[in-house]
Amino acid sequence: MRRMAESELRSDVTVLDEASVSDARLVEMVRQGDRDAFGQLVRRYENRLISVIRRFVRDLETARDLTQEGFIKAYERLDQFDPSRRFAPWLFRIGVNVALDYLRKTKRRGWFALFSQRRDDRPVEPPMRDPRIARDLEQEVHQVLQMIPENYRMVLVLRDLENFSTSEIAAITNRKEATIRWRLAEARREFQRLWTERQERQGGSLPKPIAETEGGRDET
Amino acid sequence: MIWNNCHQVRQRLPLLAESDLPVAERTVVERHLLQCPECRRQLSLTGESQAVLHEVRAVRPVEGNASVWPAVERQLAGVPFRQRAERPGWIPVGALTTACAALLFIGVFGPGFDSLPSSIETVEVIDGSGPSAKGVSGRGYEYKPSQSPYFNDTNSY
Repeated sequence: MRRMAESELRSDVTVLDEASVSDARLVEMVRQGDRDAFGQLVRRYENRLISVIRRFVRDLETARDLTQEGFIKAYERLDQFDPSRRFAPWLFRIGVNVALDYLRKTKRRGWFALFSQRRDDRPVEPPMRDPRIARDLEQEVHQVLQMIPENYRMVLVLRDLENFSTSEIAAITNRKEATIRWRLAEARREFQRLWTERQERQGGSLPKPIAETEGGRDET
Repeated sequence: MIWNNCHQVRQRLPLLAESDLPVAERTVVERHLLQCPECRRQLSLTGESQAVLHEVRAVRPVEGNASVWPAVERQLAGVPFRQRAERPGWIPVGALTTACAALLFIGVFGPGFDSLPSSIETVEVIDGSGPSAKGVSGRGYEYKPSQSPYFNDTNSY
């Protein structure tokens, strides 16, 4: 019993230690060959990184694979990391780039598959989507986001879906904050245009946000 | 800062809708909105599309419970941490000096250097008064002096 209590206490201390050690210290420890220190960094940021990557790549398993790839790249490039800067934006930059690279490759593969198909195999008209299939809001938004150019989409996703501040996004993307704000304004305007068009095309059958429907109910 | 132009104001509405506009600009935009119903309508439309994004933001993607560290650790096994390669400082300086010297050489003794008697002699040889050009220049093609703008004027350099 006493031994159990001691081991629990020790694990609590370890958790406290892990939380209290700064990123900069952990990076330094990794550079000195302490791989477990890198494990602490992974555990510290993995959930957030998976979450960010899933905003670009919806499949959870793919997002986990890309997160792993991001961490491995970060480890391999740790010699290039400037310790006077914060670790998290640098890590997220690598993670987002890994996700975008993956999307580019998939897109290229998609085009190749399209053109390599025999003409007879392709339907003359694109297949009509079954309107009865329920589509959730997230999926619809994801599809609209895919139409926004990458540089703008990245800023929109990080700000409006992941709630990073514009200064954090500037650090992640290595751009000036003014540039980020300008891209953000453009991206939001483009999203608004595309979303409105999509709604009009589908006769307002798109799922509406709860806030909007509740607001409408209040008015009546 | 005075903007009476709706276009300038509307460019900033997506930022105003989410409090991302710097304070100084926000005051100007808000002042304009007080007197412009069409810009107010635009702001309301922006608010609607932003509400859609808020809704999606609230739906956090489900993360897997298991940590990715064991998988990462397996892949890192046998990969020693790469220390920054120590590059001797003289390498870039040496490379730069060599490149400058090469450029200088090409500039001075390159194809435009018409005071080189050997070049002139080579041209004369091609015209048929001596051994073949191939034998002299070793390049295997015939050079016609009139084809080069560099040789038209002897003071071109």
